[in-house]
Amino acid sequence: MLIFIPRFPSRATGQIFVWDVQTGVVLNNVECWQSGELVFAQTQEIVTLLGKYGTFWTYDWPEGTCIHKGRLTPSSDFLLGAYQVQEESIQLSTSSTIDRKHVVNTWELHLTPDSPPSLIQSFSMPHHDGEFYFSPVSLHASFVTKTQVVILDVHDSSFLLQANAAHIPYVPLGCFSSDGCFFACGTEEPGILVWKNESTNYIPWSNIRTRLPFKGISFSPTTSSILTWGIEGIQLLKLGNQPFTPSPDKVKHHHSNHLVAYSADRTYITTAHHEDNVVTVLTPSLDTPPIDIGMEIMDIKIVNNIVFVANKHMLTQWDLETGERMHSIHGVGKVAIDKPMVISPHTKHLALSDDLSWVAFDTGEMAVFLYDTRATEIVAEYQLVGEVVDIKFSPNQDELWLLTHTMNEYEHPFSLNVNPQILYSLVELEIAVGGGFGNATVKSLEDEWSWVNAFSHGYYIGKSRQWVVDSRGRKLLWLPPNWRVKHWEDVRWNGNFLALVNSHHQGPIIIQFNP
Amino acid sequence: MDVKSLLDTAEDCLRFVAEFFEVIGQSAPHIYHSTILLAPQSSIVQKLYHQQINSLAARVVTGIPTSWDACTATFGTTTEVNHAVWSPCSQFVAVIMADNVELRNPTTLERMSILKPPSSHMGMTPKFFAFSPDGSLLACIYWKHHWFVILSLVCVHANIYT
Repeated sequence: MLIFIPRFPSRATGQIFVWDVQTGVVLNNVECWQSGELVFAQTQEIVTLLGKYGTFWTYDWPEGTCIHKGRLTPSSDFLLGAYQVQEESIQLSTSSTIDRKHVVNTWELHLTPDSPPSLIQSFSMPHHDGEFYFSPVSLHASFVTKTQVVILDVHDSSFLLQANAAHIPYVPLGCFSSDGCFFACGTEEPGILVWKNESTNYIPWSNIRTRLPFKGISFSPTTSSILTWGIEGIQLLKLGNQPFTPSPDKVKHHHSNHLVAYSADRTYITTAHHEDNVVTVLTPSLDTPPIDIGMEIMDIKIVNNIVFVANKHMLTQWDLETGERMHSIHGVGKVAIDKPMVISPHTKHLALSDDLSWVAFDTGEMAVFLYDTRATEIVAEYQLVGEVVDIKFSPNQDELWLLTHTMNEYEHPFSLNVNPQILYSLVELEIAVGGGFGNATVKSLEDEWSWVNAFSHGYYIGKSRQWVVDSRGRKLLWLPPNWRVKHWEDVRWNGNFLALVNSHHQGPIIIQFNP
Repeated sequence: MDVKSLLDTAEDCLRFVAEFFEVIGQSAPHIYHSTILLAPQSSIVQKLYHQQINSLAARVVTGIPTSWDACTATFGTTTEVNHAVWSPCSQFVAVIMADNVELRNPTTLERMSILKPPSSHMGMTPKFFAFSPDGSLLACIYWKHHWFVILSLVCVHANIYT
């Protein structure tokens, strides 16, 4: 069956609703023919709609009538959303670019019929790249790009701030406080940098790390807080004074998740960023500094008090108590330490078995290899249908588990399925005693979370992502909003230990559930 | 207790309640099961009550912040928040989320009410909004695109392609 639905837009209509905030009752509604920002007059019975390109409509909303409409000229002006409400008028600012000059105009919009808008003042300044922001109180203008924040005094175009992004790019998203005392700009961390207006310049005031990413920011009317909103929700930030000095040193920002390894008795716990070089020892009784492996880490395991690190070239071992590299004499069993391994340069997923006997890795071409760390050779290969998205040894280490996915996008030549569904499968590969793969079982997973939960001792994260529950459905722990996970890759169970490993956390969050 | 300690305790209590308002509202026992466990190490409330909890279902090995961060409240959603605005009186925060306009508490971000248009205007999407100068009124533009929909349904027997 094929369903074909072409759509042709005809027209759009709108309604302005006015509510009493205390009661939630709609007091009236007025029909409008364009969308745009709304501004109440001081009388509160007049509301003005400011449309694109300088058009405006003024309504007496209790009467439900439009009492005034018109257009600012030049019509190319862009509304800045900066208003001052007067008794009989509102003031607003617009910007336009003329001959590589940036022009800011301030208008007075009278609320009575037959009163054309009047231009109160106009400022011209050199054009700068970036998103443009303006404070009608301080008469300061800002241009924000990913690499620079510039604030100018529009009277004479003098620079009040020129801040270059040191190591974290800015988000081209800014905001002046309503009193003109502060300017805030987003960073990709995600975070917000705030500068204070000292009339002749702006000084660094606060560097706020936010919990949620955002697409909009706004100071509170009293300038004591900042509100942000975006795809993951809203957050409220206290504006304290925590001056920042952009560091000239490059700070590495990770986009890959954390790896976590536990010793058998859970005495030792280590973490590392996938494909980074540093292993961090979390055991409180140890004072071991971060261990620089010198190569990109693909997986880590702990045996006794030694952390074994697999990368694409070799297996190395490091003493957890001293942080020093150990050589083959300390190797577990006959595992070859420091010997070159033959790993595909296209490998994205690599897993080390708990006893270090095996290294399994994908080739990037729908095949998985098993490498024997004692014989130092590849002993088995398995061809897959679908792309490998994760590799793990089963909890009792006798199978290799491969999570694969395929898309059902092109299952029918005439399908108009524009939202392809990802189908997850679990391939369970037996590992033969002498090496090599035995039987393979392929299971379709109803959802990919069942893969994650297979490594748990009966605990799981509920569907709301808000609670960790046990096998009887009892709520064990509430997860704060910034700990809630969206993707299965961000969750790693190891028995009764839960690690939340998303890269936006500075380190992994590790929780132990008591049996 | 001197005045400063009292003020610090009161401020910490306020922070604690704002931070954990969601879970406290859902399940009071989780004040003990979750919030004490998740509060920063420097929290006065955490220090006062941590010793009184005998058995916890969980222990956070790593990830607890040492002190309260700048974020005093969050409200996580699976639906994008398109726009938000403060009331001039600082008593409300209004947000546009999906097809709803919500009023939220400016301290905890808890929802206080949903402002809906009359049922005769359902199917419209809120676009822009503004509070009146005293914060007693909220105006919002709801917008609706009218579509001429041509629906053609073609049934094709599967064996045509096989």
